[in-house]
Amino acid sequence: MAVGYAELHALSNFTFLRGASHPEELVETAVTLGYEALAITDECSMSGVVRAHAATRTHGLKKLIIGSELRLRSGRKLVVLARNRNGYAELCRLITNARRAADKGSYELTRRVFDDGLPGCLALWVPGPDLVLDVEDHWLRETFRDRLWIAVELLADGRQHEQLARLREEGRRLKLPLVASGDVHMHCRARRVLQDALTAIRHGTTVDRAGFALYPNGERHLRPLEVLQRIYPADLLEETLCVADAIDFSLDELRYEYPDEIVPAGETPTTYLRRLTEEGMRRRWPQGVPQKVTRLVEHELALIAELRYEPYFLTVYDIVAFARSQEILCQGRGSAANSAVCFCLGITEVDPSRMEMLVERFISKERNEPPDIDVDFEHERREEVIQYIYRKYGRERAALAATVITYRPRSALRDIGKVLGLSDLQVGRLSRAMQWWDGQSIDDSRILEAGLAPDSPVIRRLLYLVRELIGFPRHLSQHVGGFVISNAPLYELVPVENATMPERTVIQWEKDDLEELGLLKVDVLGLGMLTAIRRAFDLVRAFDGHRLTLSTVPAEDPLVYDMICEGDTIGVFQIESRAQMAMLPRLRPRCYYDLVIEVAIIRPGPIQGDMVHPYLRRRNGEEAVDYPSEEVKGVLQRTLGVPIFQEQVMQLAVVAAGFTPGEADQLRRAMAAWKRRGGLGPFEDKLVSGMRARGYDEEFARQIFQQILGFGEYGFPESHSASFALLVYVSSWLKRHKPAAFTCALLNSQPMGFYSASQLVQDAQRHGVTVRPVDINCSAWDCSLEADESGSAVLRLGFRMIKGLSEEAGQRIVCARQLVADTFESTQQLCELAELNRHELGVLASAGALRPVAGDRHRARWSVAGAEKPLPLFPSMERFEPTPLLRKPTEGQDIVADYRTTGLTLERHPVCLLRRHLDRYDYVRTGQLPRMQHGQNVNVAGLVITRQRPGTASGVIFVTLEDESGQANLVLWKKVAEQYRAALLNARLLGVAGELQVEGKVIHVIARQLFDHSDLLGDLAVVSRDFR
Amino acid sequence: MSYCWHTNVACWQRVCFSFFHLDGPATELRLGCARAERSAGRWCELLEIRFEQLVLSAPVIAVRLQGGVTQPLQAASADLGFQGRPGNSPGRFSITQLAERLVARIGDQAVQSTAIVAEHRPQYAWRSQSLLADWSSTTRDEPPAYLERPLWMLPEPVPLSVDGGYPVHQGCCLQLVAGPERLETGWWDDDGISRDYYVAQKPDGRRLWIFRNRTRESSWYLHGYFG
Repeated sequence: MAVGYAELHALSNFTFLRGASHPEELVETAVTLGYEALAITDECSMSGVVRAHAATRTHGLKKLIIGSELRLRSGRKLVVLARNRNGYAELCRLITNARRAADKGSYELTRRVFDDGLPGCLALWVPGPDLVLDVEDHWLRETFRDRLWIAVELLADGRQHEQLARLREEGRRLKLPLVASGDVHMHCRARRVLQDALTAIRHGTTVDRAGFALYPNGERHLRPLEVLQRIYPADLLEETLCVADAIDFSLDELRYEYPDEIVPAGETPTTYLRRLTEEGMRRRWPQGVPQKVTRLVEHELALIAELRYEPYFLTVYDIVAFARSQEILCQGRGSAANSAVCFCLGITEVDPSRMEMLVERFISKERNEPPDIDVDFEHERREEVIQYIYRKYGRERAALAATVITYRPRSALRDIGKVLGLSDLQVGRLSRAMQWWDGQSIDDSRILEAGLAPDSPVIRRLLYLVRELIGFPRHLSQHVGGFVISNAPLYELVPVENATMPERTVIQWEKDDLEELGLLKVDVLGLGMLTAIRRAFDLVRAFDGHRLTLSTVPAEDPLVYDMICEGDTIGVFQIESRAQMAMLPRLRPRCYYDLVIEVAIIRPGPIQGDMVHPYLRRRNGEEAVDYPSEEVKGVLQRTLGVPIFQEQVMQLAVVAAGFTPGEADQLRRAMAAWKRRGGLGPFEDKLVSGMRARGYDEEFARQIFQQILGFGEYGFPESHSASFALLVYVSSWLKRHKPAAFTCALLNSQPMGFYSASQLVQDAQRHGVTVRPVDINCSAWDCSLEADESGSAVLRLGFRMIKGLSEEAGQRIVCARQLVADTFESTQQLCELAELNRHELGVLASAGALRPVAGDRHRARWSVAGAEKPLPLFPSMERFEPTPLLRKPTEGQDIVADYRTTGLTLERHPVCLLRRHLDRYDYVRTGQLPRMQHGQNVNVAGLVITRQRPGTASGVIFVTLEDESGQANLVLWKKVAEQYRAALLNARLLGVAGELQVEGKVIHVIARQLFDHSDLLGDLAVVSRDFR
Repeated sequence: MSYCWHTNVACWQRVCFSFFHLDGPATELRLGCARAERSAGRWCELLEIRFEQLVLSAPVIAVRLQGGVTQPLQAASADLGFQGRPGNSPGRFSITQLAERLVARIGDQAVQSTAIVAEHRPQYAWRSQSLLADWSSTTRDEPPAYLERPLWMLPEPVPLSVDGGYPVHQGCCLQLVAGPERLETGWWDDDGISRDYYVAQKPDGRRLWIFRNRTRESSWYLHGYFG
């Protein structure tokens, strides 16, 4: 008779560097082998269980058991399994205590943590190699009483018979039952190779020296039932089923409890939310609330009450209210953020009357998923918000979600190379040969370049292992801002461990895990643009008294849209990348919702799904707008029949392919993870067959599926786009109407965005803003606004632009300046009053900031050389040394020094000085390109300011060159990029011969040949910003 | 005090004398001990043996003594109980001293010892090495105590014939008494194995270590004899 089996001891790869299979692989294999149950028992961790839980549903595993392998300080090994919800909480608390007692990545377990007996747990006692069980038997039996088993793990080490006999005897002596288990480290035997490699990585050695640290064989995998039946006596196998039967717990039982304190005494969440919403309505519409809005709010409140989401809205409200009280600019986005209720609560500034959006699009009754609100805060002040949350809820109840750091190609290559005994030199060469644009694969040519033979056995082993290892979790890090806040201590829900940052803790689950279990989280994110916008508002108010807020920036200004349509958007939020800038003149956004589309359309999803061009043609009236059916029309009408938003794809799956809302939701989650874990296959079949069954043609269905793939990593939902569009509009308005303040704010918020300070300043100058240099008598630490003769704003660069000067030194100068009525007379005076040291004076001199007291740079350096801090006993002594006749620096020397010290110049563009040399090669100025013909041969040269390889563009690389008249955008096909790899990688001044491509206002140069002219630049320090 | 001094002292396992002549290359004389040694008496004993054989080509004008890499002195001296008072009874000396004298007399490569290698694969689990090999570099990673390994390993496994499914050795059917011990490892070089090892017994009670390959052909091999 066939005996069933439940595996009670299995590690996934979330037991870092021990487990060699993904949780999903273990679950899938357990199903294939016909196991009755599978326990995931990662060492002192719950990080892998949610993935296993999700896979349980997908693959139909009969029972998933949650547990953990624990090693006591004494060396004893236990497997503790959660029997019920209480047991799960006990286990989480135990793991939390063990983890918090040790450094990040390790744990410390003493007997004391078992003191309360873990009544909700079962335990397997895993005997060590000596098979002796008597050292702690008394204590263990006292703790677990009748919930303790002896695990018999027969792993073909040559003494199975002896082991079984010994443990039977021990079992009789201690009156403990025996149970079979497998000490599983991998889902199949073939993974033993990777498992060995992981072991060697863990021990910091090579595989051939790892010796007995390696397992002698690959038995630690999920073994087929017939094999187990040959190895184990039937009673031990049957006992596994008894243990599994005694367990009645699933992660589905976890329920989230909202914190209590968000509701004042005497109110219920429902009444309190209504009160706040109504107050907000009156504030937003002081002249009377439009009927439409009232109806919308009522409708939303009813929906929120029905789903009992009030506490969630109130939690977010509380955080946002704190930020507002501290004047920290913030803006919500996400599925629930664009509701009228959130507008009234001040969580978002997107006026619902500005857009036709139904909250049901964002909160769904059927999907039963928690509402999602992410809140962006000024990036430099987000920490204040985080500290507020910790203060309010305490560290027991608020923690950041984890981010699982996984092996990337480069880290996998490095670690595997080491354990295979390659030298550091070889590994270094290989990983250097793999450039940022090479992506996941390693070409043979790269391996040859590194001096290794692509078909040698070592390299074949290396590549095999690297491929297997990519995507394996390596350690936990903290999520940028995903907070979990609960009413009960969090450690009853999920273990909490120490993060790298002192005083920070993270839970053992990722954002996706929380979502999978329907647990609530609030994303507290930092956004540089909010910092810049707040600074611009402050500057405008200080300069001309004009008080602006996100909601009061004049709406729908045609001048702003005119500027956007020109693609004149350097510095603007989101639509400043070159892909966006190239799209703007074609898309020609004229209203708010156009911006919502613009933000979402230049994304891998729509691009990969080939949705961009159909949308453009339809928008320009070149193609008829039609819908395959009425249902589809309902979903796609607002985007002219072309799916652009993530939500639309989900809705299509429902209306056109017959998915239930729940299935569509699973699809969305699978979408987010497929690049890492795969597993969209079943959805593809279901989608395509579902759509064909409903009469849609296959091409349409495949197109939708392509888009789902593209959405994978960067899926962009309408609910986020709608919030971002507001920041796009506000930043565009500032750029159009307050360019000096806008540029000033951007410079003070660096690093952020797509462009360097130099490009931002040049762009401002092209828009008529006067920019003045750093000046010892005029600059503050930050860049600031000054009035010129006519009273209009002029941008003054601040001390922050000078590399190597500390903020503290800058502030000393500003303070000292008050003593001399804003005018230093000499370097010596500056040095004395601001107490500057030689280094600080040196960088000021090199940056040209001493011009008013010391003249040109050469003279300034001379004066600095003589300046000294006065000694205590000798009062200031001006030494009247004649300044020698120093040659004035040349313009070229000034420019080089400008770039070196501040990263930009207010002199002529460096390329301008080199024009004489460049003319020999027939390079035209980039400013001439718009007057040239499509298809014409053209040579241009300029500083390399960005290089970019979008993931969607199949190996194409985009490079932006800058000369004195503007910028040129280059397109490098993969072949050209490979051929001119060296020039592409190294050139700071790049020349290109190619063909001009003109499409309306969008101009590209398709490169054929590249020339590195960097030698002409000498010491000029130009750094390209590279993006993937 | 002297105890502390002893444990921290550095000493040499090898020394090299160079005898310089007026013309021509120096004559070199290398001496080695099995363990790092700091007793001058011991070095002198070995030096004496070598001096018997040393032929100098020319008068010596200078002598240089080089010590190579110093090593910490091994704390325990196994000689203590066996030898009585060291130096007093020249007729009795330890096996180590014997080996050292043999090396001094007949050369480094002629005297070998075996060492354990931390390896699951039996064919790599030991190696012979020069007696004077740097002891600090040999592994001290002991195999798990429960592993049963034969005292006498064959240099190459010998195929066994099979009768009725059972392996046969010298005409005797073998009875499998323990196993299998499965060894699947060594994939990182070109000599990986995947075998099931058994302890087999002959009717006369002698025990053999045999294995069957898990890959390709699954015939039986003899790999060693237990004592």
